[in-house]
Amino acid sequence: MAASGTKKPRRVMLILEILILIGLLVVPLVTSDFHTIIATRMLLLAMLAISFDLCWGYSGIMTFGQALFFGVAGYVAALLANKAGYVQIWGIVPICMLVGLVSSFLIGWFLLLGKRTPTIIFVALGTLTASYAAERLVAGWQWVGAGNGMSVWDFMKVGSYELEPGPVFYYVILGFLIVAYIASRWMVRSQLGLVLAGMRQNEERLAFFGYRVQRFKALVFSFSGMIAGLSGGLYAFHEGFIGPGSMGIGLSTYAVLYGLFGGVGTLLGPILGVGAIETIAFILSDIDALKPYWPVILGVIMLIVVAYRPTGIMGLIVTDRERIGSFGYRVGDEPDAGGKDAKEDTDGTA
Amino acid sequence: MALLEVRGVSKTFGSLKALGGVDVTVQPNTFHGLIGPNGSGKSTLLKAIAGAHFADGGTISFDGMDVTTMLPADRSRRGLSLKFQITAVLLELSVYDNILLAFQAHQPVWGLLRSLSRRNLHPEVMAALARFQLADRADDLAGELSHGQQQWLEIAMALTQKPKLLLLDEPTGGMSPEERRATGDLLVPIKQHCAMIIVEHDLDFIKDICDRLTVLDNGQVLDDGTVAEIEASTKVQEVYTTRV
Amino acid sequence: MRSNDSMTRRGFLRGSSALAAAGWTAAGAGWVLKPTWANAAGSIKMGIATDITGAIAPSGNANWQAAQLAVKQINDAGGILGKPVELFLEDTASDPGTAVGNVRRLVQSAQVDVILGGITSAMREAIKNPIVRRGKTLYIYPQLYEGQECTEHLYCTGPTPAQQCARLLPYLINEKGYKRFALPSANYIWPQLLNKWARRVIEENGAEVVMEEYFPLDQLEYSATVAKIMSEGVDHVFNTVIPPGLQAFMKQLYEAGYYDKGGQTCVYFDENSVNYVAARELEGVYSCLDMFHTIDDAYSAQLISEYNALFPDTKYLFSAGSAATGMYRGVKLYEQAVLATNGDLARDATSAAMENAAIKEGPGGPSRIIPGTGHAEMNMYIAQSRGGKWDIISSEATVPPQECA
Repeated sequence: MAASGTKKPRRVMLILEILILIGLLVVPLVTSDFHTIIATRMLLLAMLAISFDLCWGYSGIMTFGQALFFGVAGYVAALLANKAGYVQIWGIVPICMLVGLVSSFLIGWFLLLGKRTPTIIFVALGTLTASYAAERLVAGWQWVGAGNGMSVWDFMKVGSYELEPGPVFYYVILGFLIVAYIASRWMVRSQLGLVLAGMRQNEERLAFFGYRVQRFKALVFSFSGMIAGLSGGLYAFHEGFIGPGSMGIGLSTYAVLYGLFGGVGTLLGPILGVGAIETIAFILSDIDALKPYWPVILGVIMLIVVAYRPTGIMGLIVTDRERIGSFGYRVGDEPDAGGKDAKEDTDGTA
Repeated sequence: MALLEVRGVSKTFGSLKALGGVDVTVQPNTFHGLIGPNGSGKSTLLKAIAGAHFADGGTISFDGMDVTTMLPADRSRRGLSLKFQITAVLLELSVYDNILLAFQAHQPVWGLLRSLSRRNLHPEVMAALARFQLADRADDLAGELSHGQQQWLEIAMALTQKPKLLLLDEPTGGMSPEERRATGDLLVPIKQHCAMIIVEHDLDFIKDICDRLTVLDNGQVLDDGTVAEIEASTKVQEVYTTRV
Repeated sequence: MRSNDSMTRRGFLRGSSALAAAGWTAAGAGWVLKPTWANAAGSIKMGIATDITGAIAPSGNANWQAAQLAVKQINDAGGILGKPVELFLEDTASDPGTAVGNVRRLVQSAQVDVILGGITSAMREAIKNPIVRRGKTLYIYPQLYEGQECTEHLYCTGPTPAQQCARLLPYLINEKGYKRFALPSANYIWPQLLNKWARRVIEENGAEVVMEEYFPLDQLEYSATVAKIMSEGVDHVFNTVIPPGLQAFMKQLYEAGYYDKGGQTCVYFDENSVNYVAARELEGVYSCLDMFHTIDDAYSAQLISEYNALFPDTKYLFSAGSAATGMYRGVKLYEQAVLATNGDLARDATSAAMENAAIKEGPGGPSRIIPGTGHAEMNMYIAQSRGGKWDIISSEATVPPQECA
């Protein structure tokens, strides 16, 4: 009989978003250029991790292939720079987004839109295979540098201004991350997000409502591939190097780790996951006794997370209720109350 | 014209012949009960009509169209709606969101992305909740409802599609007597808009609300007729040694 | 890795106990050696980016130790113009992808004045961008390679194909009578370009290339290739496979009985090769490098004995195929450049001075940078491995690199 209309919404996620945003804005102001560059790389990886979260955390698509779209776009960016001499950000960004979108759409079409509904395992293995195959393909292809990869010699340009790694590049990347985050957030809080939330819990049930579940998955998969492509292209220019490892299962698995460790289904979790894991890696790289054991340490961390805290870091901060959120109006906030569209409870709070 | 014509439907699982040539006819705006001992094939038949299984033989014709091999999503679009035996409400979503999810199912993807129908559907959602005595639980998680209330939520969700035919698989399973009575009261008004096939064990409940009954035994139709006819049928009395 | 090879901080200090005794300390994050008589301001910061771990570790460790030797000599003599040289090490881990990040630390965190390092061409290609372009730092590449690296502010102090093959291949064909060559190669840029060079010289001298094949670096299965070598009557294998595939290839080649039938050349093989392959597989292999331990050169002999005194337990010898000689040469040429600029460490100034840098004494002999080319002339020696030692067959003085003319 709980009069639930009086429940106050928990706004932990909103507070967290604001705190993280402030933290990210402040980074270049409080650290050296060297650390800012490391942080920029983390922002790019965070975008990759968000693309994973959109798939697994929101749509039930376990993908071990996000690095594929990241890497393909990175190679395209490197080729544009090295072979065509084209480095303008105005073109590189849309092209890399398009490359990510198209490549993920093709893979998604093949894996998700077949005659029979694919299982989670099938999709996971399919994406893993695609990522692995792509890595071997470029590792043997001389034109793109084969096993050596390609050095991206020139800096990305904004008009005639050269974007060197440093605070300016950091803010540019942060801008892209914020846009990607807001776009993703809008999508997962919309009515489409409600469909995703339902799909996560019981796909078969949704099919009976009339939802063509696989199409929704293909849509999210393509959107996330677009984000992965965007970050891959920017990564190539920031790091000045792209190699087969940038599209292989190693990096794809890192995307999974970042997401799971930070907490999937939150969009913030991937950002926290990247921050935590990459920071630990960075600190350990100075402690030579532990450096060779980093992969083992990472594996142990993951085992612990999966066994004891599958909701990751975010699971410690945010309730499941808030994470999943609400998609309609709250009782008492109906749009006809007062004639205006009163407070829509659509920002993911309970 | 009959709303649903099932002719000679059979279904085999491995070596088990669950249905062996079943005929059922359902008229619009009637409640049609499907009864029989355990294992007689009631649920299998219902699922075949819904599209959860595909029949191995026979035809199913709904509203003039052959739906024998049609996917559940497509049958749903044409007005055939199924409520599962095991409640399949989405436990981690609120009651409101469950109903909204059902209501918005035929919106185009782009419209869903832009949340175009959210405002318009709100009154319909609230009305559906009110009709099933769930309005005060709108913000609670579906998982927090009692079992009976979850069943009502399920029925409410199945009705959002304004189906012509609703399939209910054991709607009163696990309910207390009061809840059962309440369920009956909730269902009867629906007859104006929708026909129903109800699979049930509780014969009293079936007698109260159904117009016609089909009795299955071992995958075959044992008898078929109005409630009064079935009650008087000796064939049926032989099969049912006790009245539950 | 076993403790006396592993570069844990403990192992590092132990390995450099002689340095510690001579006043060096390890300090700070990362790996720094600076003489205790120095104060940090006014020192010359030298970054070494090399493969301490991974497949190329035997060469990487050798050239790291060579750097320490060279810098110790400089510091013992009072530094360069009174300024001490501080060494900063970053492990490129035989992986270009990770190296890019680590090298950045040298450039931006330690802010070194010059970086020496990279062994495989793949590594050089990856790290030259963060060093030269983004880092605007002078880069000296110390290893033998395929040539055609003409990037400004990048100096190569290791042998080029012209230096290695121009005399070696005609010798093999005309004086040893080899006529049918196989070119098994790792699939990356060094073997690809070197093979072009080699093929041209082979065909100019009337011999033929019977087969040319490329393998992924991690390939361990060579039975098809070896069978082909045996069946096609190949009498000389010009081997450009590198670790980790190298060991498997040579083992399979040996076990097929090839060593009784034909000869083999591997132009990066030197005294350190015993760390990669078994002695029986080294027997009879030809090489052509800027120094061997068996050459008749007093300065080289002295360098070798000083190195061995500094690193008594090491199994990484001061040898030319492991970038050690190129590293030593590079450090000493840099010293000359700094002397020429009178202590101005800015990149453009030292780079301009490097153009004309020359050393009268070095490993294998004197050396100087050919102005406008970024490459060095040096003495070259053809040798053959016999019983674990390299027998010198011939030598040539001040061979020009013939690059970036």
